Amino acid sequence: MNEAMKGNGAPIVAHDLVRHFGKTVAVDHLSFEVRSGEIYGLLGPNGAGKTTTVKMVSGLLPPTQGQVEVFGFDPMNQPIEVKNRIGLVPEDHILYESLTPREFFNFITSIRQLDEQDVKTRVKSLIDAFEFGEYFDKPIAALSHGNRQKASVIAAIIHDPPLLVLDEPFSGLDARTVRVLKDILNIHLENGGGILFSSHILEVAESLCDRIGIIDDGKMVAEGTVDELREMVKAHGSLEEIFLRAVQQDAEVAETVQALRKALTKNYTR
Amino acid sequence: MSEIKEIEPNISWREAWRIAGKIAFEVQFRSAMSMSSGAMTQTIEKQIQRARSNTRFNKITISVFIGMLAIVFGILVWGTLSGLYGTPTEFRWITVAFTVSMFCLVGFAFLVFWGLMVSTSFISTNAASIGHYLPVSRVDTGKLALLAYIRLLDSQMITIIIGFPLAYGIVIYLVYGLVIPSILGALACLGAFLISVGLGITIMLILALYFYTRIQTTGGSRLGSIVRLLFYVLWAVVIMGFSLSFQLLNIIVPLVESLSISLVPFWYLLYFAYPFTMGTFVVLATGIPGTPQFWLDFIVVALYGGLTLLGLRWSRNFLRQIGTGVVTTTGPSVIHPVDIKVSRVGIALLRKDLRIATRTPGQAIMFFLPFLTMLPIFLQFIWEIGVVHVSDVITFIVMPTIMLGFFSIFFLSVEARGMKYTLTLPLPTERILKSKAQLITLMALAIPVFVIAVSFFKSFTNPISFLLAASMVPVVYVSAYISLVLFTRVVGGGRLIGFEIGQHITQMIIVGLFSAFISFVPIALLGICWSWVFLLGYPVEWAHFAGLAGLWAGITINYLLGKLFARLFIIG
Ligand SMILES: Nc1ncnc2c1ncn2[C@@H]1O[C@H](COP(=O)(O)OP(=O)(O)O)[C@@H](O)[C@H]1O
Ligand SMILES: [Mg+2]
Repeated sequence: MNEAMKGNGAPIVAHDLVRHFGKTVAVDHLSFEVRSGEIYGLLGPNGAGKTTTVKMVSGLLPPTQGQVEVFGFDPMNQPIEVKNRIGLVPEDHILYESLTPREFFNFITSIRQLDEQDVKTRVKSLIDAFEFGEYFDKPIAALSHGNRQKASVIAAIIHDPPLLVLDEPFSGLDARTVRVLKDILNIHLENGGGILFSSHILEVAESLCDRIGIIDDGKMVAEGTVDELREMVKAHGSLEEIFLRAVQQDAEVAETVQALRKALTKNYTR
Repeated sequence: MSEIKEIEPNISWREAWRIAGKIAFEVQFRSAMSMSSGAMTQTIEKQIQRARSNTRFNKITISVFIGMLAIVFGILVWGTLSGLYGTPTEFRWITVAFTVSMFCLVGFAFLVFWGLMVSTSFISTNAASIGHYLPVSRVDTGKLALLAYIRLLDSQMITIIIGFPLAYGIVIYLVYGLVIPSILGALACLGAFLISVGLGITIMLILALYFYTRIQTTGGSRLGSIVRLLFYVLWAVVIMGFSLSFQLLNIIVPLVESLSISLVPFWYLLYFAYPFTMGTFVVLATGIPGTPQFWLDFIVVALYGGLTLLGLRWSRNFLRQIGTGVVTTTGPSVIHPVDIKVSRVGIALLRKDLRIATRTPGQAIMFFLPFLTMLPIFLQFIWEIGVVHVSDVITFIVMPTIMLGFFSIFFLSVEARGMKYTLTLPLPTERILKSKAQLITLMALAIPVFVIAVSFFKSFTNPISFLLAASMVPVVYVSAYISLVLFTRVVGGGRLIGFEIGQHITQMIIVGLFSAFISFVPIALLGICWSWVFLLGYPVEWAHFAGLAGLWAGITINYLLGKLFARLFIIG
């Protein structure tokens, strides 16, 4: 990890972030902090505002209100400083479709002006770990979802950024790749980097994150370590219950599932 | 299990046309969404509204443009038949036949050109697959996909199919005052343009298929490059015909006349070939006096009609396959060693854009801009001028310079779907715009190159001509830069935004006109400084140098203007 890259301040300090889309309030007065050496999970159901938050953090979307700082830099006003320090795996991995991964990696390393030797060793080991070699010269358009995701992950860490921002990175990956990616994240933490991670999958967040912020309708409904969260909702068992309780859905879910059962029950043998 | 509702196995054409309109809009919306940074800052509802009004607006622009072409066509036919151009009576039929043929070709080329532009969005947004999720038959899926494709081009097609026959019928009535020939002529014209449009769609799809199954997959192989080169040669031919028909009437008329008259002895052979079959057909149906009895032509037209129907059926199947993913895009799996090469930022940007552009059928056209702009004028030079004076060179290079500036926005289309990724890179917006301006500057190098080429055939009176020609390259650079900045401001609100032909053609024309005006500033200064010094009674050599100085002053002014605009308008 390059110390000079870290600038001053914590990887992410978000204060009172708000984002409106017309009448929709996608993110509603959200504050959180991601520290060095820590993996912070944004956990929430679909449409909770995770992607919107990730975009504001990485300088792709201006907040309606509030501030976010990445190593002390403002993503909207100092986008270059921020983009140099973030490795982003976006939710929709749209890459340059007609380039091959080789051409794509050459392009981004040139844009970032990285050291050729360093990058080469790094990319080689990543490609071996991901078993990606045979796709290295195929157009990205021809890659499967999972393989694009791999390309997207490699591209995100190619410049050794001190902060990783991953928006639902495990969706569509096979077990081996998930394992490799988890290892990559752990190594990154050991090196003192920070990670912001979004997911709607509880198990993943539970097993991986140091701290979790549960968001719903753009609001932070609970925050803390897994243990603290358990304490908070005074329940035992899996995080799933905690999660549903935190977003106050458990009773409602039970009800809707009941209704769903009625609607869907059929006798296929009739 | 409750009964599954069977949807009618055959959707009516009317219903299919309506659904296809929805799919077509989806294609445009998806591709517009995927490439705008605005997509992230505006509400979805607003974006949909905007895409819808953009689409509508663009359709109107295109229709007006084609309508004007139809008027030009009508004037040409009328001028010939009424004797206005002094065409000898016995040759009028062939001049009309030739004119009709050429405009059939223009309609054909227009559809191929436009279709290739949208084919990228059509295939990459995978909108054709929508039909697969609906409970419709396989045949209907193909029908829907074909109609959706057609609806992306509907305004162009409809104006072509209605505009030209209408213009023709009216002109025939005006000249002869007879109803029957004008109706027959208009109907024949309708057939001719219908066939041209159908052939255009088929050819365009074949080319698109070719790109997606072969070129995209071969990555950087040598064979791929050769095949691609061949494709571009083909493009060049189409574009050349296209651009020639856009030259002013006073260039076309004598050209058409002398060319068509010189073709008389070969016509009995030529009319078997498209597009001449179509011209002959129309002239025969109208009964223009003096037309030879090429009755076989009706059979040939019927054959082309059949061919078109076959082509459309093939297109339907192909489009159906796009949806199901039968069109494979997997290349040979030769594994090369992993390696990373770091180059300079500017080079990397240019290389990426050139790669993407050469692999995308709709963008290949940009490599023809130099030819499109230079070749007609070059030929005129070789034919019409004896010794080349400085003033000749200036008239020679003004048009291409202005045209390249005009087309600069087009180069933003290279970003296309990759735009979203580009935004995540630590690149100032201004840097990316600069790179696009550099791309068009590469094309502008054609100006001095062509002038040097002329010097192999003709002798120049003054070597300063070459300096002037070379100075056009920076003129293009600065005006391209200014128009890119303006487009980013006008369409993207100051943030990077891609160019998508179905969405932004109107904005491109507006910004392009402004850019043409901007590139005219240095040229005007050249003229002013030149005449000022010359009129003061100094030697002509001095005037040349004064002109050159004026030109460079203009370039500097535009450069500073560009910097200022970028500072004022560009965000990020
Ligand atoms: N461009 C947009 N226009 C309108 N609404 C949007 C836009 N982007 C996101 N939203 C809305 O904001 C909310 C949060 O979305 P998002 O951040 O994508 O959620 P998540 O990633 O947690 O699933 C959703 O209700 C979504 O519909
Ligand atoms: Mg999301």
